[in-house]
Amino acid sequence: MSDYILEMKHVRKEFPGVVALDDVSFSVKRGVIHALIGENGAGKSTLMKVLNGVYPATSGEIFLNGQQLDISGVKQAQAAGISIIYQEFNLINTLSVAENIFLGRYNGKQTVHWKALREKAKALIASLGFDFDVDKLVGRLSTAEKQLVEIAKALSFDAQIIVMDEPTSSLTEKEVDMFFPIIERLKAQGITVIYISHKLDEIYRLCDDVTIMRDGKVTGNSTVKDISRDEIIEKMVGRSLDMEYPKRTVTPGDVILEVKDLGRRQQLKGISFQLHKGEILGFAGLVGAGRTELAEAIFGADPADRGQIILNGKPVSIRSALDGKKNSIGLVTEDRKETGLVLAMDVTENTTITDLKSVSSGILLNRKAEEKVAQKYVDQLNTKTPSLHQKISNLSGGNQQKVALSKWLYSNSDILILDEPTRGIDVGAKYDIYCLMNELTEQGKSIIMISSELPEVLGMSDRVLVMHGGTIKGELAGRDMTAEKVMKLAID
Amino acid sequence: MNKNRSTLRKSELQFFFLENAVIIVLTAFVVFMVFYRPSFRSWANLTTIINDCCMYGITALAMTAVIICGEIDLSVSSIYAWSTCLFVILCNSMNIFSAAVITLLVGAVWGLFNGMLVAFLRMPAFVATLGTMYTAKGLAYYITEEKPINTGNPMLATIGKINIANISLVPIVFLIVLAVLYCIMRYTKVGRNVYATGGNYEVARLSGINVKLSKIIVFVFTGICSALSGIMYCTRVYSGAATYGSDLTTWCVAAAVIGGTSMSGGYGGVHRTIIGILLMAILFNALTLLGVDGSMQRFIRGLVLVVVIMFDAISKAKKR
Repeated sequence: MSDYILEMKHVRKEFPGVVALDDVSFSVKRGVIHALIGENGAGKSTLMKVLNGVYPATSGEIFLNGQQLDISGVKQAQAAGISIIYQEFNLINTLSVAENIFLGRYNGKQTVHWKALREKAKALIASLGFDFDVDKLVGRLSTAEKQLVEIAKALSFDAQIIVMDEPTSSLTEKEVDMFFPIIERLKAQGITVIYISHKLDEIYRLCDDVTIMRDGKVTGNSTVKDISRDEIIEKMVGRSLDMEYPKRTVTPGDVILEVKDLGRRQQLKGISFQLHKGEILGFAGLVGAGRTELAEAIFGADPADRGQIILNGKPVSIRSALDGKKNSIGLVTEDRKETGLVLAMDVTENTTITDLKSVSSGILLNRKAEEKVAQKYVDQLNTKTPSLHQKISNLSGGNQQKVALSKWLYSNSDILILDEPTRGIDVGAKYDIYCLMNELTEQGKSIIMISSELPEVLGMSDRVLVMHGGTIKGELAGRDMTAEKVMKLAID
Repeated sequence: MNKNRSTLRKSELQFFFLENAVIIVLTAFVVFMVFYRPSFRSWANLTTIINDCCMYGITALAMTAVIICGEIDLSVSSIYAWSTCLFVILCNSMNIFSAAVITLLVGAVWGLFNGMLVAFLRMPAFVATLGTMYTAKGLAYYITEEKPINTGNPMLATIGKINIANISLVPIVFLIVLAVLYCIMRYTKVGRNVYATGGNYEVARLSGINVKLSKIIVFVFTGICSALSGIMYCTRVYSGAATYGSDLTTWCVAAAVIGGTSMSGGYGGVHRTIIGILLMAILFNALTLLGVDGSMQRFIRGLVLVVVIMFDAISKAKKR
């Protein structure tokens, strides 16, 4: 048998008008953790979808254990021992853990053998070193636990290869620390893991080999210990990045927003803080600490029921997103596909969505004016799009995020709330967004940034507020802004 | 490279056929009729088709807007029936213009009622408009004492007889409604907000769009247009009855979806529905000419709806 468990040779995949994969060859050694890295739109996900039978390849061959494999559907890939865990989980929230693991395979012909099912599910979870109630509904689990259920599900198919698509993107640092040993455990069991990620730290911590992709092609293959961070970044973006975080250049001015004793139901309690003009105020904390809820309360998407919001010294009443917009507040949500952009619309329409009045003459929309606005932000944010009328769903994650930002820049928000602004986007686009944040604060705008990536919060913020359990646990500034201090406040 | 290109073309061609399967089949059917039944292409028959389909077509246009907004209105057939009854009763006691204005306003109120149920009480449109469907129909039976009623209003007869080369007033009204709705949907803030609301409700809401208003507006449009369709019918039959227009809802949904407006919301356009309207009208006219009886036609109408929505679902799945 060859050293390689998987060899994909000269794979080409075309979509109408686009070549997504161009002569990609990708080989994975048996029993390793193999990182697949690249900017969004580089073709990683497409390659994995070809492997998993979601898309048929236009041309190319796939060998598993040296034998050619004809994958024409997800079922065949599963039967061959290839499982994929997507970033957005494939779990049904209203079913139990055991039911999710064995979904569609309830071992009896027509009936469900509940007892056997539960025991098998329990054994699978136990093999990962965990123990929890398999009758619990998946909807009640934390993201990390859902991740576990997905892995257990993959194992139940006797998977030889498990593909994980950015598994840590929605996990907190603490959860990541729990998650890595699980992957190590899989490796110890002889399972090969293909690990898709944007985070270099994780790759150095976890992976044995790395393959780097750019623009539908493989640009590098190496063992992880023989390649430097700079080399990886260079191969990803085709240029080297000087710094991960640009230097802050603005000294914050007067208080622009003051929140006093804000609360909502059981989710938020006694929130008070001040935001200064030109400041980037970071909100750190674990997932579920109440940061997104706070953002929604300030913006009005889910208004507060107690406390006060004071803008420029005047108390304001914000009861809806419309009120938020009227008060020059913008919220870039954490999930751009679900709550940030209308996927059926194009770049222009998504940009002007927040203020159609300014591009109207009388009651009629002025399309030329709209295009001018869209062009302005495409240029300013360095958004890569074939045209202003490209459907937003055809852009990569980073470029989508830039459009999601554009709409609030266009509505002239003085206060921008950015919820996980760089989640799931590539290094190049991240840097663009950081630079933009600096530029905006130079223009006198103020930014509230919520992020679960500690280096980012620490690297970009002037001050950091740490939340836990719906309250603000502490404020860190200057020298106190260290990962250890943030984590200490966030965990308790 | 050459080979690659041809495979690319092939998949695009397949996609085109799938997208337009229903239109292609129906067009083939029309071509067949033109040659098979010469009476089909007579001026008298063609104008009958146009006069007929524009009546329901008015409502189909508004239904398209509702569907784009991500909703559906099952009550149009009942608002239509109610409006024929109300209009005829009013015509017996006042001039037809006042009668028409009142009927349209009441239609708007029905739509407002639907819109409020959906927007403020967050009822699924399916359920809310199903309720209105029975309510409006029930009221129509009540005010007519379950009997068709007639009017001898001379003005109505005059209006009904307007006719240029066998084309009645109805297509003209249809074109006006089309122009107005098209402009609203394409060139105004209201229209764009309707697309955004249907495309993704949460995104629209979080962009500070008044999503509730968008929904209410489309339902009010539909209420008014259903009433207008009803009035147009009265100009031809001079009578009103609670039983009129029972096939209107399926007809409108089918026309909109054949035209390429997706049931999932956010995609499509009112102008596209013209194709759906014409094809539906031609199909049923042809079936009549071929001697297919009424009950069979009803069966076929249902079948067309199912097939059309099936293709809509398939092409949506393909797009993913």
